[in-house]
Amino acid sequence: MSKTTMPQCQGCRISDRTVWASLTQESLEDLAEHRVASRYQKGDVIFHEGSPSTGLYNVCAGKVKLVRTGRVGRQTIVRIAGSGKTLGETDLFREDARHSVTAQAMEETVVCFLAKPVLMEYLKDYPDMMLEMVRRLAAALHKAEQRVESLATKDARHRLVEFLIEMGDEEGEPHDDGIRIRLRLTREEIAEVIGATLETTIRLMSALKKDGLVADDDGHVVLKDPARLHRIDRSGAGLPVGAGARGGR
Amino acid sequence: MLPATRVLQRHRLFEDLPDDALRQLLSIAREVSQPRRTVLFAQGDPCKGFYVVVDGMVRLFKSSADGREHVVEVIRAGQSFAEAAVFAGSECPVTAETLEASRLLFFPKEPYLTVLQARPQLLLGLIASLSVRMHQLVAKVERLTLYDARQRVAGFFCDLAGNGDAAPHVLDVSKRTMAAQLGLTPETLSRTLASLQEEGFITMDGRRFQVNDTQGLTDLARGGPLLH
Repeated sequence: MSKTTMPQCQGCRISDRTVWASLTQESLEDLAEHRVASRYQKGDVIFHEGSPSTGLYNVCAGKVKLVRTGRVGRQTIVRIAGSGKTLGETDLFREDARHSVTAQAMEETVVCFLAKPVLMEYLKDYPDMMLEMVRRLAAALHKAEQRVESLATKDARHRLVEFLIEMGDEEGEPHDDGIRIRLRLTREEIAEVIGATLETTIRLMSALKKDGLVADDDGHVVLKDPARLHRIDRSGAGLPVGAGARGGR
Repeated sequence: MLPATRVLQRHRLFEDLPDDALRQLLSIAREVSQPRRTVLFAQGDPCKGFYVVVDGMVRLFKSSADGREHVVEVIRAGQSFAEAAVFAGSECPVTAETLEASRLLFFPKEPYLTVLQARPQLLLGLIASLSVRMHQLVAKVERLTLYDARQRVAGFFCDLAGNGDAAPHVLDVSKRTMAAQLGLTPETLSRTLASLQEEGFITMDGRRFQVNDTQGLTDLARGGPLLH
């Protein structure tokens, strides 16, 4: 573990994208006194599933995956959160107040933490901050509903294409061959997002490569033909899948 | 007291609210009674507000381009729906249709937002309510990605039957709806139901069912008994 605690993030450059964006300058300075920023290396755990939820986390830089582990030890990635996104907000106000997922850094990441009692004080004084939390929760709910729908109705190949398009939209950067996904994703991580086995994921990625739809560039996925990927996503059909029934692994 | 008031008081959204706040919310609500199979709003419609079910049942579903329907959720008496849509985007992400004759309270968007502005403490209830919904969705994602048909069906019965309740229950959705919610084909669902009965976990008689082994079913839902 290489977590390091950092001095207060004065002059935070992403504060206008955070949940406390509506605070006045004075309150932001006051808030900075209470925030604890930490730097994590790739693979470090920020909090564990089942541990008590004691406050709100904000991703300042980097990427965090929120992972749920089944009893048999298999994992599913529930969400990938980048800078400006909050973590732990859905666990804080439930009765058992425990983390329902594990948060793990996917690359070098800076996260700042605000303890619940302090957060509650701010929420009371700043209804806009509360409203922003509601908006974020509502948006996260819609995304989760879409995910459930995909898992229940689309085959593994379709889910893979859908995920690659989403990553291209959120993390894409121009590349000679098309759009490069800035975040390095292992095949295992892709499998854990789309809910397929590692073997199926490797086979599906190879097939997409063979079709000239994607390429690999030093651990980054390159979307070579985004237009065709979009067409596959919309039509839902395409080449045979071999991954079995709806929602099949 | 109106039954509607009692339903509201038990709902997480309105918990711990002072009487005057509850009265204010009730004053903007409209009571709506609809027969079975009435579409309350359709996917893509502008979102006009949210509903609380007083009596009856509503299904929320999404339709894909090829006309297939996926049931996202079945909303029962005492539960609410579409409150997230009031805050996220302007279009309804699902279609809502009554599964039986239903009585609902409708809270129109603009007056509701005005009340929220005047009473920010209502937002805390909203955060709590959305958090619980999120938690359920994460569990669904887990079930659909990590668990096989047996585990998904076991989880479905655990959710319906609650904890340690041995009384008989009635399955209030069709098996087709149930299969769609679990991401299974109707054939796989039938096979799985038969095997769970054979193994003594549940007893089914038409739509009536009884959980015989709550612990066993819970263990099964979570991927087998915990190994030490």
